Amino acid sequence: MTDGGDKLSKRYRELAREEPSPALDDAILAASRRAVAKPSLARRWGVPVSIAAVLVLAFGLTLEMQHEKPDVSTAPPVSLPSVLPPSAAPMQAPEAEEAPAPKLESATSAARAAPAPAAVAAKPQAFPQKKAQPLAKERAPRDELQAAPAEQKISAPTGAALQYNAPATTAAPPASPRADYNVAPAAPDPGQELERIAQLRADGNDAEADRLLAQFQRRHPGYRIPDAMWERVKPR
Amino acid sequence: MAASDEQLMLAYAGGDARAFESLYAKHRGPLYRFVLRSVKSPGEAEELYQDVWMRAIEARARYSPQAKFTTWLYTIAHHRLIDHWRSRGLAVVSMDDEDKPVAEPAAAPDAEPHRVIEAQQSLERLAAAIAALPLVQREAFLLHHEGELSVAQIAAATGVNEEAAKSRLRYAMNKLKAAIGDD
Repeated sequence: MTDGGDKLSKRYRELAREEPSPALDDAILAASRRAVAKPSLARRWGVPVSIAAVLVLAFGLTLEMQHEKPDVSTAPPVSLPSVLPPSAAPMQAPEAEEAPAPKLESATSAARAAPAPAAVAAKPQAFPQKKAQPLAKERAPRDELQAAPAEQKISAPTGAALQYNAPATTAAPPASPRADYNVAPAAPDPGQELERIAQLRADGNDAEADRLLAQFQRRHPGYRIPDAMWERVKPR
Repeated sequence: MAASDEQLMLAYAGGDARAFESLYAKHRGPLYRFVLRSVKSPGEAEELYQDVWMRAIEARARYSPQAKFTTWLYTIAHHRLIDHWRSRGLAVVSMDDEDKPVAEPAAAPDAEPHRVIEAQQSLERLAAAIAALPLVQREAFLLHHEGELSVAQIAAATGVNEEAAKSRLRYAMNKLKAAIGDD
């Protein structure tokens, strides 16, 4: 193919060697440079800066919301009540237990004295709940209802009941916010509530027992009262 | 050691504008003459020539050095010329009509290579003979002499098999050799 074409190729190269005009060269080279030109600083950093700005704004708003509503950030640690009460309750329990126990013993008959330890055992739970009232106002009426019979029972025989109540309310100094918080979520133990009702039944205070029993059933609609306990608390 | 055309094109695809300048400087003349002698009109040639380079620039990201850069570049040029001819209602000669300039507008009956040889004795005779070649034969010849493409590369650039490319080139060269008295 090429051997016979050598002369042809040589003659062909002798033809005019036309070339594109400089203007055409410039236009093509300019287009080639534009095609690979790096974007401007604003275009190159526009997206990253926008993303960073959004993140900073979101972070700042989150911090602001936490400052405005501190309970929003402190409410979630639900595990604290279950962890801390063992250390907090025993420290307060002696104040509540030691004083009223003799009053119960002296104010009630020997037959009634049997359930007293159980009722006393319920006190440590009741008193911390009263301390939590400032933080959980919606719980206050219920706590007062629970505490009312005991106060009536204790205050009836002697005026010493005032001394009994006084330590419970005044001996609880304004604890640190964390201590109050730890106590607040503690839910009343259904067993202790039933025990209190049973005690009222045993004391013959059926009206109050009926009222607390109805209240108990409203609060714990799904709770199955053991048969033995039911015999003690059922309406008469 | 100078970078190959393929390396330069890859560098340009990667953002190196200077690589394109090197490529352009090397191929501007041959490509321009290939286009110019394919369409004959300098105005059309400039438009098509610029269009070919623009297509190459736009296709830089898709360039793959599996074939020679010149094959890739002249494939673009071939497609652009096909579009040009079709836009003017010209049909590309089929393989069965290799020797018939059916779609050559400039190839008037009196401009057949053997008649041109009788009329002229200079290089102009060769230029006229080239202009008188059928489209596909002239394209094969120009790809071989301007683009320095082999038969296989001509086949790849024009989308035909090697036998067809070889046949077109042979026909073209025979006619031109006859035109310059080399047959």
